[in-house]
Amino acid sequence: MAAPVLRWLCPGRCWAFARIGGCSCHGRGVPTASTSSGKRGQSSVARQSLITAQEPRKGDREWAAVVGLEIHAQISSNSKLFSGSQVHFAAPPNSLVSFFDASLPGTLPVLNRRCVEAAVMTGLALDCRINKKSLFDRKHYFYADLPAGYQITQQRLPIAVDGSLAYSVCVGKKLGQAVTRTVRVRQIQLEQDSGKSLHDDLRSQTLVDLNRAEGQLRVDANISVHHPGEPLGVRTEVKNLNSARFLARAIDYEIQRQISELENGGEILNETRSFDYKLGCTVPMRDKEGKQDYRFMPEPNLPPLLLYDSASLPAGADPQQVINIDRIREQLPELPSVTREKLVRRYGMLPEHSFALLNEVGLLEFFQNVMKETRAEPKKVASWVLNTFLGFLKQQNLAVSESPVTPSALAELLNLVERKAISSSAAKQVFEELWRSEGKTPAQIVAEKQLELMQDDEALEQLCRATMEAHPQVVMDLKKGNPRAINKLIGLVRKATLGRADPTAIKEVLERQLSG
Amino acid sequence: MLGRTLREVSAALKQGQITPTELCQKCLSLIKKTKFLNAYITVSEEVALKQAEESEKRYKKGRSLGDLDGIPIAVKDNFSTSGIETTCASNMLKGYVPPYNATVVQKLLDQGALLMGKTNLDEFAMGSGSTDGIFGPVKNPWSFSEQYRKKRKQKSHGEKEDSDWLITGGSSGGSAAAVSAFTCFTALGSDTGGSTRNPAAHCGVVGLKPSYGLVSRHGLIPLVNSMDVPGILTRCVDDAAIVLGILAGHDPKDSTTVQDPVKPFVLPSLTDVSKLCVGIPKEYLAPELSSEVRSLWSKAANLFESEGAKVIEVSLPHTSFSIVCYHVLCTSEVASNMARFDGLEYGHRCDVGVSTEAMYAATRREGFNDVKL
Repeated sequence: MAAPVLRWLCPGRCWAFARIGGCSCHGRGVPTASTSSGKRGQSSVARQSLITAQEPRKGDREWAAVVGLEIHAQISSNSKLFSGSQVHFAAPPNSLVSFFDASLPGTLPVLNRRCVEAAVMTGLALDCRINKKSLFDRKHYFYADLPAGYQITQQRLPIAVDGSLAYSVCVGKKLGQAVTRTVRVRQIQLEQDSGKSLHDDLRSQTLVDLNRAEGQLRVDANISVHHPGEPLGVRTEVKNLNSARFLARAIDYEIQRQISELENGGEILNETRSFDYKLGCTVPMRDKEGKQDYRFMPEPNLPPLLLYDSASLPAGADPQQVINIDRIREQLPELPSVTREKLVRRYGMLPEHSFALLNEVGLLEFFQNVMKETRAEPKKVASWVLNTFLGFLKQQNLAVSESPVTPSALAELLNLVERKAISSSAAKQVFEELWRSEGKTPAQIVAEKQLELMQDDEALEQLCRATMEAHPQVVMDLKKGNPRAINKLIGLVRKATLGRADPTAIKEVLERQLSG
Repeated sequence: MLGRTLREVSAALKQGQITPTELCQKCLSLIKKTKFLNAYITVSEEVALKQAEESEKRYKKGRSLGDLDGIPIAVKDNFSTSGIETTCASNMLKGYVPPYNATVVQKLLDQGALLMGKTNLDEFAMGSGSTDGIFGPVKNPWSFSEQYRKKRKQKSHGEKEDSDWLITGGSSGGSAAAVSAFTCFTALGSDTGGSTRNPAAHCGVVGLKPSYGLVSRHGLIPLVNSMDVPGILTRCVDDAAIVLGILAGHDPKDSTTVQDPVKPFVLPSLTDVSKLCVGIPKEYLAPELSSEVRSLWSKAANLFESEGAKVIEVSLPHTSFSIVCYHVLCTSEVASNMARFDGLEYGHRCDVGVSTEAMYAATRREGFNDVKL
């Protein structure tokens, strides 16, 4: 059946008091886990009217919130978890359905090796203990997008347990005030994904596409509140969250809602809620009395999944038939935290910049390619890449791979600035032109637009003298000790050079001439 | 000819004493004559004749596929057969035509066997009488034997002959009856808690339940996944061994089949049993055992002993718990396996369209029969 899915369960703990103003860090790509209350000053949807949970009365007892995340991540593989059929993004409905996917009677699941490897890799990357023996179970419920009437999952003994993930959180108002937090990963399990339902309210019908759902990452949040020291509270589950921003808002709202409810004498129902994006609040979803009984049962058609490491690998085992955890560990790519640390050490990069570089696909490679061809300082390169380059990309909603500017071109441009052939403000103009017109090199653009810095020192000396003579009042101001006068002079000289003189150089000449 | 063993009829085909088409016609006409047994749900006449034609071509070229080439077989109607209706004797799957063959069916067809038809069973193989399917009960061919008729005439007078028949046992009653009535040389059944062995005993034929994991279940519409196996019904033990040799082996489509390759085997012709040790489980001597069965059992044990075998008492101490365990496991897995029958993708769908739940409920009420445990 399924597009294979890994499900991570992350229990975490975040403290939320009624009125702490949260941090709204919006540095590019810097991950934030906010602990703010429902109102967010700098949120992009601030203009819409938000329903915020009623501000609770000032209780004298603290509240603690417990949040657990259930993350459904679709494994990138050529075929599905249990059937041989292919996985293709955006294929026509029901065009990738095998007999097993349609739950034709008599069909049996066959485990996909690549999916198991992916699960092991994920487990290792999240520092989990890989269970050498894991089991598959059936989880039963009736729904149109679940043709067999049950989902094959790993309830009792999943493939990986007890991991953790370290991440950075901005705590102060300033960028760069970050602390490291860790979240526990309770377990990782392989499971089938359900089909996709399309509700046609007009004709009162539901259409089901059994290719399998296309959401590559979906998160459900489980939230409860309690007083520290007391038992955990009743939890609610919030589903239908498909972005980190909405996830954060939904959790914040739900925490406040629960605190309000309890402080006003109400009680929390163990229910499933969904998040209304427009109103910014959670609403009850399923009509259930209490918990649903999934009638878990071992999946009899799949024997226990046995994994080996180099020590336990049976002699003469067919490598096609067994999975060696140690081998997979060796083949793990460098984890982001290690890459970021290397960047900070090697280039003296700010940590938040290292985050930003890794948060965009292909951006790190772009940066490194530029570094290869330029002698400019890493900090300058990073600044160009993260601000100018990324800015242009975002403006036009392009991926790094679609950039009209190559790393070589940017490197060349930076070298021109480095050699003082052009000023940095001129460089920005060149960059804009590079972006717009394909094929032109920075040198060509500089020549076309006549942006070269004046190299003629004689001419500069003359211009400075001429400008000072033409504006005796300004010179007077300067001699009187007005610090802003020098900038005015610089500006005037620059104008006279048609922007082709470096302000630093002008300043130097002027100061020399004034003192000499 | 129809009473011969597999090896005998295969030899006859090779020697040209009879052609596959003639053999096929004989069986088809016998099926028609014995229609009152209600052993077949679907008779695939056209398919069988076409297969016979192909087989004949092969024999003419001297390139027969093996021991089963040109041999009529029957398959229980809970095995998926491509292009041929597969009903499991249930309203739920009436009209369902699968797009693929079960692995065991494919293996038999690959050997050149002729598919006579799909045989009757208890609905979804849940039963031990072959009386609970929607197509009616299967009648034991022995009901129509001279001995039985004489016996009945003596005992009761004026009873309608129509209602005077014996059950075949089940759930693979149709397959057992088909083999017993000579309408085919072997038939596939299924066995979960005796569903091949039980009707074999009732119909006086050989019923073999292979060990779980030996034969692929891919395409066998499941009752209890952890206990089901395809079963083999034949008229002699040697035939069963031949068929098992064809069917056994790992199937990548069934993850519960054993990985080790199956070594080809031939049944030993056992003339000396002096090195054999036969165990008789003492717990099997249940008070409910009929005296007739008990005496036959003793007779067999005595036979072994008199020929020099060692016959001893053994103990299977958990025997009394087996039926309880079976019921718990059986009902759980059946409930799970039946969950897919909701009318959405295939099979029967009711007319109720108010809501998905209402449609499920109505479809399943109409499609399923009552469970008689």
